[in-house]
Amino acid sequence: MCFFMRNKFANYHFRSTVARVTFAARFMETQDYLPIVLQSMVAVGFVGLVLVVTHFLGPRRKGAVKDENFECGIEIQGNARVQFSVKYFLTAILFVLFDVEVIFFYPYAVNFKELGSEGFIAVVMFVTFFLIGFFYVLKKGALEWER
Amino acid sequence: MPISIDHYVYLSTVLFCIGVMGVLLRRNAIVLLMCVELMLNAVNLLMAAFSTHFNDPSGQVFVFFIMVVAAAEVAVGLAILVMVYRHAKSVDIGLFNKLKG
Amino acid sequence: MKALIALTILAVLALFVGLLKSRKLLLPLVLLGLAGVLALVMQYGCQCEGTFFHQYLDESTYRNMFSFDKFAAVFAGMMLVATLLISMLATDGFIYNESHRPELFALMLFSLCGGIVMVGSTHLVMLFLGIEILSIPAYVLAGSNQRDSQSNEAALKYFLMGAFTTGILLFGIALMYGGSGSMSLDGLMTYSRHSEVSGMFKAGMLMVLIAMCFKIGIAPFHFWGPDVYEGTPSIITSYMATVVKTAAIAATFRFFAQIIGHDAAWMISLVWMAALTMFIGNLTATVQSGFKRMLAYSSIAHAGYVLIAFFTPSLQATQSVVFYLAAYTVATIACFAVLIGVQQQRKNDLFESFNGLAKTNPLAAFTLTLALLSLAGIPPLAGFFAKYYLFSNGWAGYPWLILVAIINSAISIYYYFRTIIAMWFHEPTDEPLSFSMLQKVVLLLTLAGLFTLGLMPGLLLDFLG
Repeated sequence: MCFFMRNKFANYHFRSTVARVTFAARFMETQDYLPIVLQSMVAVGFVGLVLVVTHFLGPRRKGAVKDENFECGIEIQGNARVQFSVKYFLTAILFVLFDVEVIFFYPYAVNFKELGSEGFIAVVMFVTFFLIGFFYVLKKGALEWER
Repeated sequence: MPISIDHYVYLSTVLFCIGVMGVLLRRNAIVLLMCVELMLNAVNLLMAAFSTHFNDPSGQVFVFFIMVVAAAEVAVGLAILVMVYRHAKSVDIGLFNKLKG
Repeated sequence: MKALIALTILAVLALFVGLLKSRKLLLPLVLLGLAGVLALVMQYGCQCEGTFFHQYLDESTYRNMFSFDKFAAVFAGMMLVATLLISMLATDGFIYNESHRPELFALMLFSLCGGIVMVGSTHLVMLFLGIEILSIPAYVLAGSNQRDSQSNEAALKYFLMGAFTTGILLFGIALMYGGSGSMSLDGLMTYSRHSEVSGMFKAGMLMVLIAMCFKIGIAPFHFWGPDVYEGTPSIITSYMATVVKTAAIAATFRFFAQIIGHDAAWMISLVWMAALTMFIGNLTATVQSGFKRMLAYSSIAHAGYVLIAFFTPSLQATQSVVFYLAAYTVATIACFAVLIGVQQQRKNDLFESFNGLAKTNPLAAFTLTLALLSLAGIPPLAGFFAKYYLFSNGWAGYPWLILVAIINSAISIYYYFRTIIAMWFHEPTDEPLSFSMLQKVVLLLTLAGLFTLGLMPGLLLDFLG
C-alpha cells in the first residue's frame, strides 16, 4: 500500500515537474517583457502620482491679488493676447529652420580631414540645396518687413 | 553608484510617458506640440545613451536627424496652428469637431 | 537613385516656375518631368533581376541604408503613375488661392520623394526620414484650402496624429537599437533570427509596428483617417489615399516580412487587427451619407485586405501586395476623378449628387461604376483578380481570415452599389457636369487600367517575375 502510494506520488511528482518545466519555459518567455511592463507601470504610475499629489499638496489661496497674472512689478496693461505680426512669425520660423540645419556641419567639421574631397562635394551639395531654399524665401518676399 | 544604461532607459521612458500622457490629456494644441517635442527629446536622450553604450556613432548621428526633422515639423505645425487660430480664434482641440461621421 | 535625384530637381524647378509667373509652363513641366522619372524607374526596374529584395547588400550600396531593388522600383513606379494621374486632375479652381499652385505641385513632388525613400529604405534611419519627407508636405497639403475651416481642421488633426506617431516610431526605433545594437535591416534580421531576442527589442518592434499601423490606418489606429480624408481638398485626399498609403504599406511589408515574418507570435495579433480593420472599415462605410467618407472607410478596409499577404511571406505574397495595391490605386483615382468633378459643381458629395449621372455624363458614370465594381471585386476587372490572387495565397496561412475577407467583400458590394444605383436608376436632378480635357483623359486611362489589369494580369505579373 505504502509502496503503491509512493509510486503514485512519484508519478505525480514526475508529472508536476514536467509541467513546471514547461511552465518555466513559458514564464521565461514572458519574463522578457516583465522589465518593460514594470517600466511602463512605473512611468504611468509616476505621472499619475505627480498629478494627484500636486493636486493635494499645493496650497490654494484665492483672492483678487493672488489671481493677478503678475503679483508684483509694473501694473499690467491690457491683455497679453494681442495679434502679433505674421512677418515676425515667419522670420522666427525661418530662423529656427536655418539655425538647426547647422547641426549637420558638426560631424563634417569633426571628420573634415578624413572625408576628403568626397565629403567636401557632399557638403557643397547640401549647402547648395540650402541656398536654393534661402533664395526661394527671399524671392517670395518672406523676409521683407516693409510691405 | 555608477550610472548604467538602465538608468537612461528608465529616465527616457518616464519622459516619453509624460509626453504621451500630455498629448492624450491636454486640450491646448500648443501644449500638445510641446508634449510631442518632449517625446522626441526623450528619444534623443535614449539614442545618445545607447550610442555611447555600444560605442557606435550612428545613434548620435540619428539624434541630429531627429532634431532637424523635429524643427521642420514644428515649423509646419506652428504654421498650421496660426492658420487655425485665424479661423477659430482658439487653439483648443475640443472645438475641432466639425468632421464627424 | 537617379530617379530620386531627378524627382527632387523637378520639385525644385516646379517651385521656381512659380516665381517666374509663367503659369502655363507649370503643368507641362510637372507632367513631362514625372513621365521622365517614370521612364528612368521603369528602365531600372527592367534591369533588376531575380528576387524582390536585395539579399546581400555590400557596403557600396549607400552604406546599407537604401536599396533601389525591384521591390522599390515597382512601388516607385506605381506611386509615380498615381501622382501623374492626380496632377492631371488638378484643374483650374481646385484650390482657393491660384497663386499657390506651383507650391502645391512642388510639395506633392517632395512628398513623393519621401515615398520613394520609404519603399527603398533598408535602414531605420532612412525609414524615419522617408516617413517624415512624405508626411511633412502632406500636412501642409491637407490644409492647402486655407479659407475652409474643414481643411484647417483636417490639417491640424493630421499633423497632431502624425507628430504623435513619429514620437512612437522613434521610441520604437531607439528601443530596437538598444536591443540589437544595429539599425540596418541586415543587422536587425541577423539579430532577430539568430539570437535570443531581448524584451527591449520586442517592445521596440511593437512600437514601430503600432506607428506604421497609425500611418496606414489599421484598426484600432484608424480613427484619424476618415476625418482627415473628408476635410482635406479632394485632390489631396486622392494623393493620400493612394501614394501615402502605398508607401506606408510597402515600407511596412519590407520590414515586417524580413524582421518578424518568421515569428508566429507576432502574427496572431496582426491577424486579429486585419479582421477588425476589415469589419470596421466595411460596416462603417455602409452607414455613411457622403461619398468621400464612404471612400475613406473603404480605403481602411482595403488596407485590411492587404494585410492578409503579410502572414504568408513568399514571392507570391509580395506579388499579390503589388498587384492589389496597383488595382486599388487605379480604381481609387477613378473614383476621385469623378468625385472632384461632382464636388466642384454640386458643392457636396452626397449620394444624391450622383443621381442620373449615367444620363448626363455617360463616360464618368461608366468609369465610376467599373471602378466601384473593381473595388468590390467583381470578375472581369482588376480588383477581382487582385483579391483572388491575394486570398488564394493567404489561404495557406489563416483560412478563417480569408473567410472573413470574403464576407467583408460581400458587405462592401452593398455600399458600392448605392452609388451605382443612384447613377443609373435615379433621374438626374441637376444639369450635366463638365469635365476638362485632362480629367477625361484620366477617366479613360483609369478605365483602360482597370481592364488591362483585370483581363491581362500577366503583363504586370511577368514584370514582377
